[in-house]
Amino acid sequence: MKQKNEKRLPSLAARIPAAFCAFLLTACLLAAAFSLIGLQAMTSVDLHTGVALSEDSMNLQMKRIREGIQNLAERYGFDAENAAGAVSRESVEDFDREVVRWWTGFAGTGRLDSEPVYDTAPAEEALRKDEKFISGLEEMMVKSTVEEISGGIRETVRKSAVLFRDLLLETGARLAGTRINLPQAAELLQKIPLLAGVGCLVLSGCIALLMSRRILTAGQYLGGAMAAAGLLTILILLLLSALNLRGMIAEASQALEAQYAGLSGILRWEMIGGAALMLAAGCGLMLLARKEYPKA
Amino acid sequence: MKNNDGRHIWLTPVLLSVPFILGLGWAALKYGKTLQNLIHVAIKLVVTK
Repeated sequence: MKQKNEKRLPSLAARIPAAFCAFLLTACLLAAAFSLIGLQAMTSVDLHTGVALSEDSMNLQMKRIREGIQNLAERYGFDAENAAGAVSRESVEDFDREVVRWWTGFAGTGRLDSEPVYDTAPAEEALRKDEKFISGLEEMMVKSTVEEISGGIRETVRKSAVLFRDLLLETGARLAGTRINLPQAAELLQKIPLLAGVGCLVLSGCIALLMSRRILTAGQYLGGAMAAAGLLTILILLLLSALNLRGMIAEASQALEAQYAGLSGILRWEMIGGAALMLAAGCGLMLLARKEYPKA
Repeated sequence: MKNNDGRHIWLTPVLLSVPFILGLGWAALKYGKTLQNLIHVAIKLVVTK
């Protein structure tokens, strides 16, 4: 008789709150998935370094730097090839790494360090060795002109690596810092996926408790919530792609568009993979839950 | 494929998704264009050429 009781379906009084918990669990799973990806997009040094140093981005960046140096050469009359040769791809890659560490550091810790500065010493040396250019200058003007050009090269490299208005970031950080504790806010931001994860565990526990000894039946609700979160993730990705962010970015900056293409490509596949995993795990749980009761 | 209480097995995730789909659809229709314009302005403001 006891065994028969255990095999009975849960009552409506248990199933209604369990369904509500499953609804909240779906929301928690979505929050966990999107906050995890959002956090990765904001703070992952490796991800952004990989994107910034990709072949396409680097080629575009080096092209922009060469164009900038060419413009300076037309203005000051030095040998552009010679100066551009002193701005090596390796040194630009190192600078890109520092820039990524700088702004992801702010997103991760809430502390804005001073912006990295590109070292133009090799370019200055190349300019000083440019005899034709130096001989055309008055002796007392050599130092100041070389420094002026080196400042221009530094700015060209900086603009090719920092694709947003850094002044806005600095002003925004300063203004926000007067109202809120930025390091504390950043720390809280880092905890959002964890909090959502804890919420998922608590809600799963509630569903299991509501289903009492019919533990497999809880799988029906847990599986349903997971599958729903997977479906909704795909739907949200479709809605986000309808925003045409890439087109808007391409209109504003070709260099940023190249980086965005790389970044969104990685994150999109992570999200699709996660959604497929949630969908598959959810369906598996639901199918497993069917086996708890013998067929009527 | 039906579950033990006689409902179709895929009904649970679909039913759980419905409130979210309705909410997202409503938000997209009501605020989608505004959000798109805001993002457009923000990108123009923040991104350097």
